[in-house]
Amino acid sequence: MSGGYIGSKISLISRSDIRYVGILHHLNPTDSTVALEQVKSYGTEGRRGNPAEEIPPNDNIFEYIVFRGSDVKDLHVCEPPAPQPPVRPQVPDDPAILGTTAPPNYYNQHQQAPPAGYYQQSGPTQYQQQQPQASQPQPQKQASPAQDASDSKRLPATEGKADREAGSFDKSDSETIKPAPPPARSAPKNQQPQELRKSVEILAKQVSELNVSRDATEAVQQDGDNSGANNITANNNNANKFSNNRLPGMGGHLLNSNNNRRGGRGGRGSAHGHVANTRAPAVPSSDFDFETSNAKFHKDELAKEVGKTDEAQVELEEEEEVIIPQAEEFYDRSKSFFDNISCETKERMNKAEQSQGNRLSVPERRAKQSEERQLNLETFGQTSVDQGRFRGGYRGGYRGGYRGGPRGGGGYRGGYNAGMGYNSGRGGYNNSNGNRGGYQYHQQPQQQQQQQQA
Amino acid sequence: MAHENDNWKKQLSLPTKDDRPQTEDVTATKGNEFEDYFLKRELLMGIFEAGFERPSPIQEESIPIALAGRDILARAKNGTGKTAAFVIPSLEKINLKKNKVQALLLVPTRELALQTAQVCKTLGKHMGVQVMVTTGGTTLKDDIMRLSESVHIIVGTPGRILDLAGKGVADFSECTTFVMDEADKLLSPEFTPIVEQLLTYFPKERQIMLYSATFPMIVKTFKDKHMVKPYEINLMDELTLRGVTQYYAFVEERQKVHCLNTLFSKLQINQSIIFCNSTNRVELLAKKITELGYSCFYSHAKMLQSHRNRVFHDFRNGVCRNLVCSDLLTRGIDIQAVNVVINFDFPKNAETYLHRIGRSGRFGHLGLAINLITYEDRFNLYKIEQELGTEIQAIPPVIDKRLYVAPSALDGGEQEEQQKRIQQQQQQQQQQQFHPQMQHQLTSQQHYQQQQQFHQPQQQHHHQQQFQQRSQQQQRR
Repeated sequence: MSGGYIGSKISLISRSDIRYVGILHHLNPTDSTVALEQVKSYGTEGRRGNPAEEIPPNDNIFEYIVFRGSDVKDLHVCEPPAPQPPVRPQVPDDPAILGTTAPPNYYNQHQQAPPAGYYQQSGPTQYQQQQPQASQPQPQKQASPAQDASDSKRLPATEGKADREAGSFDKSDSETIKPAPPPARSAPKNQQPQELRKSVEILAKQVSELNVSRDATEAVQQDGDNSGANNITANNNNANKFSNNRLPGMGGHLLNSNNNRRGGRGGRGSAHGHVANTRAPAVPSSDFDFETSNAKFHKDELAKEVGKTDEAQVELEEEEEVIIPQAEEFYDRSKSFFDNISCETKERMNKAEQSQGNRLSVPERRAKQSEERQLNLETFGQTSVDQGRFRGGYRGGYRGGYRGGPRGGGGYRGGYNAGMGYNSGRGGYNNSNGNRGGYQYHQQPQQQQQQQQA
Repeated sequence: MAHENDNWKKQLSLPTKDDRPQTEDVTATKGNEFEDYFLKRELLMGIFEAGFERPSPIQEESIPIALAGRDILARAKNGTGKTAAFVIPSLEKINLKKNKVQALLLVPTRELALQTAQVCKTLGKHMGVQVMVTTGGTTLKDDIMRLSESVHIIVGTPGRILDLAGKGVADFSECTTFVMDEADKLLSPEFTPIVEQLLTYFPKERQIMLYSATFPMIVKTFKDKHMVKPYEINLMDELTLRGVTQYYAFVEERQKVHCLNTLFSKLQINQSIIFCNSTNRVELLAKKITELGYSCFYSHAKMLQSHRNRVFHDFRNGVCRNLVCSDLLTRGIDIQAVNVVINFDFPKNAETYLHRIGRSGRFGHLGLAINLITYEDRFNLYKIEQELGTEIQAIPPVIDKRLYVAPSALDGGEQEEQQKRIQQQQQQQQQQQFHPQMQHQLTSQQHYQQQQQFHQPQQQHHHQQQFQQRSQQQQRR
């Protein structure tokens, strides 16, 4: 995500040499667009070198402009994002309020620093950095004039990119699973600069990619060599290059899914403002009060309650008896090697008995689904990330997806394919020896939709 | 035992030592050395270079018996070294000159297959052993091509391996070692028919070895039917890990995200795994966490295998701090940097609970398990506590960092305190060690204390490092 720079004041110069200044609303790596809000045009400012062709500045402020990435010649940040929008006032704890969650782009507070291991790759020195921008002062690209920008900081685009490449994907290592990083000091105090630095890198990378569309082709070629036998790195390096954290399995992939996945309108679903998800439960800015909440729960009395519901146990348990776990019933090494704890197999067998068969009947399944939807709605304000249109498709993915291979995963693939548009435009995602494990995109009939999830 | 001619050891490139404290779960050994088992020099080199120093309790019990060729039923807690307990003898028994598959290591999930194969490769690094990993979700063609070359050990999931055996591509006719890791899972009704069919491709004089932390009665059926006088190893006095402190937070369903958000801000998470009860919920939660500004990955069975692999690989390498997942990754996954497990949705049975919380506290280290409990979960909470003979306590307003944070990540003062505590508890523990059966009768308070007991590592470590690079390799499994 370019989260750290969303909200920054950006100055960009188009191929027509016109300079625009506005607030960065979003970068869309998928369709290579940059969107600014409150945009002012400063004209060509003499860049065309021919007074006859110069375009004068324009005093109007445009609410919202989407720029084609390939037509952006230069881009830099004039001002970091304005202070966070004021903390939302504490919403009363009222079940009637369905939600107050703001659109995702405006969150970039308190991001955790990545775990220790992350920094092992580029060196622990990053921990020391206070001001990420200042630490990378050299402008990398040819300097196009930015006369007014005494306070501006040019983005070290190429440098940031190199960093990324050396970073999380170690190509020579594609066949080995490195042991996990050990715990290390997680430097909470330095989080901000790190986060910011990362954002700068990513933004720079994204912009450079928006500028130079050949990057994608190069990436594909490079990745052709990367045929890890274990399929572990799984050919995604190139995709990662222009959609950082947006791949399936990374949280960012799920963002904007309301806009993109549902709308699918030319891939610009997210362009015109986010509709706040009014159904999501509020996440108050105050800490959750564990003590008060736990006080509502009397664990000690569970035994009695269990006794009430289960007559057999009533006799066993005297009122005043302290509950000592009677583990012997379930596992006692001295009596048996085997245990008798509750397990999935037992659970399934019980269910099978109840429903007199291995599979749930259709109404039972529906009831179960509706139960989960209800629960999801309560927890997240949504029934699934693919709410609406792709719900069926997503579900259908189970069988095929699990078995893998090009046959499978139809529905699910359909879902994100249409939504996130990885397959559109550059096509790099499925180009690199992508024949393993079903990277190919096939038009899937939705035949599997009826299949139920386990 | 003293060993002569140790000169070769000086040539080894050993990883940095792990200085995190460890519990009795992995330190209560007889004092064997790996050299005691007369293993091939090349295998020993791989073992030491992987950071293993001495066999863990399960390794001490399992390696000699496995080398002797007996069938084994082995029960040991999560993350106490089971994988190496069967990988080492399996490697030792391979005849490298014979161009045949000689050992099959069967595991229930693809991620676990990758992990186990990697352990084989690491430990067998100097042997020239050919290890192949095969799971569903990859193209069969690649496997067929691979099997036309030399393969000594196959690691994989049941369906694909049966497929290969049935097609005559994989030849198990001289495969005398048959290992099942997470054996109870592999012998659940869904897998048993596959496993039994697979066995028909094996020679009569095969050695079957079963490993897990949980062995329900259903495994007995398989044991009686297919195993010959299996040697039983049981190192579990109790079911839960001592190094993992368990808490619950009582919440309303709609407060769960808020609660998690607060946990994120308060806990010193090195890496965390967060479990949900459905794939939809995994995605919904991953989305929420991302929106809240925290980095997270997610994984579940409905994702493409290649995506699952990348998530697993990257999370392991520390690319991301939090992983949201379904029960797909409940078993066997060994990520040493995970110090916090959160049950965002409380599991429905004790087995799942036990394996989930076993993702932290790997190799006897300290960890935290936090359970979000709703009113609907209350009986499950009670049931699981009862069945596991453990206590899940109400989460305190402040969680003592020494319960789950590595010493090197604690402040100076906290570190000293931790040292003191360790010493005190070691003494206390020594008194209790003679009565292992006592544990079930302990009062809850005593039990709680016992959970917190930990040892210093066996070996004295170097000075503290800010980054314990590679220390996770230390003494694992």
